[in-house]
Amino acid sequence: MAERGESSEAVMLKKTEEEKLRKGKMIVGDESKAGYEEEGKKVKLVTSDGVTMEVEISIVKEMEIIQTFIGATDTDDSFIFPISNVSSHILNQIIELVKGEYDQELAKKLSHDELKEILVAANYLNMKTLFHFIATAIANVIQNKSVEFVRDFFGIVNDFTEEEEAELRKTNAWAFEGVDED
Amino acid sequence: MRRVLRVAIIIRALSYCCHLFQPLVNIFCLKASQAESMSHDLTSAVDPTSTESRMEAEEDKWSDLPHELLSKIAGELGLMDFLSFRCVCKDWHIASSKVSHEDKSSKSEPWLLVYEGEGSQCSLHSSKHKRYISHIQELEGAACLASHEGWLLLFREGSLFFFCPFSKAKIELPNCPITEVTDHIAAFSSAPTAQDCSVVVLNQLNAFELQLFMLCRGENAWSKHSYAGYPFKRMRTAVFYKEKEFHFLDEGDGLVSFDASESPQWKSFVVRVQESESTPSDVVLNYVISKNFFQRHNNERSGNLRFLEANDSISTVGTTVPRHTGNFDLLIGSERIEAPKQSESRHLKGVWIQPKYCYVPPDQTW
Repeated sequence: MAERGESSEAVMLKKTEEEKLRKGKMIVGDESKAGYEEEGKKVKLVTSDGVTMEVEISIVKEMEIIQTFIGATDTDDSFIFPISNVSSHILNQIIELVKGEYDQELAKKLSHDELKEILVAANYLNMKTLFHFIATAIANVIQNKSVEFVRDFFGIVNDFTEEEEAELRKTNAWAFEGVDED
Repeated sequence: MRRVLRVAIIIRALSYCCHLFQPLVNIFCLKASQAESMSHDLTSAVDPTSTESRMEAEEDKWSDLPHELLSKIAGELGLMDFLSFRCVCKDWHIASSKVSHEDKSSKSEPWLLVYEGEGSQCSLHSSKHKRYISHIQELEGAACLASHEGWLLLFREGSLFFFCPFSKAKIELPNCPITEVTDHIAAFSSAPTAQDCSVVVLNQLNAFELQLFMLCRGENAWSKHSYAGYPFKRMRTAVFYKEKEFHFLDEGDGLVSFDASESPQWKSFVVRVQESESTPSDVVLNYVISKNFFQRHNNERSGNLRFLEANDSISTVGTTVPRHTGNFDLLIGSERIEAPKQSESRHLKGVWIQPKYCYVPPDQTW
């Protein structure tokens, strides 16, 4: 245990020293061998519904939040990362999207709930490519649709008052004509 | 001893990281033995937990997404879809309220806004051959003098103002120096929200005299500058060149420059296509000029995609398209198309505009 009188700064200092040591080792070590070892390696993630999933390191590498930890600790296989905001279902979807090299065709099969949860998860896990991909997929759903269609598709309740809505339609009136009827 | 110390270090590092990465808050890093005991807890309490989380998930609605995420989605939309997005619900509206939005899909091709049609109706032709209709009060009886970066400079009822037809943002200019618009042309250096924006309005008094009014952002009084010189042809197009220099192009190959950088200076030029043997006195412009952009685009369109009906007359105001051809901007000139039968024709006005939603903070004035 950290000794009672030890201040957090002191702990941080020790951590930094440890990191320096580790970095020192990495420089000495054979880089190509290190890369080889990482291939096929899996990281255990515990999802919000309590499922432990082994995820390939190549996918985990896109999750910058996990990378921060892998970078900050000398991980071994026994480390488990609980990701309390992501369900196993959504994590599986994410894995498929990453493996499918972000094909917009795959996004078309997702429900609006899945789109939303993947967006939230991508933000939470700090997966930049996935986030941009899913934001684009959602934008594609909205494209050329009427406001009514968008509300309906995403299950959004119109919370404007009648007056507000009338005013909005007046100012954004371009939006309500010449759109595709779906 | 060592193991426990390491956990303390990790947690310290974690709280440190939280400042950098907000989503990190809920992540804990545990050794396997600890995680196992935790997952036992989870299993024993599986029913209440999952019901609760399911209920939470149901309450987690699209409208409740953080505005930061919503605005990222809005940023991916074309201009018209962006306007729709703003009308979906209050949260989506707020999330897209305080940003300017540019139509990325247009690839900097300008759109054409035609006004003064029947019953003050405006029609907007996107670069993807779509047509939108609207009534815009600000354009009723207005004359557009210039168009730049999504902003129009309009003259209406004795006043000059900037107007964005997509956000309906309006910035009034003080002490309008003109009482009516006849053959006036104008240009402005940047969006009127930019600190260093300056506006010039040029009036051609006769074949020999030009009169110019200039106003810089934050000023109240227009400065007046005159230029007398060679017989000028009719001045058609005004454009911002650089720093405080503006160019005025006549309907032939004449160009007059006005530079207000230090003591205001006028110069006359003849425009010609750049050849290999340019002399040291030549000025190479940073823009290429298209004097029949409207006519060419109208002819390319067929049927009801055309801008004009058979007997329409139109006068159009051009704009500048940044870096249209390599490093060169494209200057679209002003044009006038006369219908064959003048007496029966409709007289329309048109302006080329960048498809951009311009946001202005509520407290901003000129």
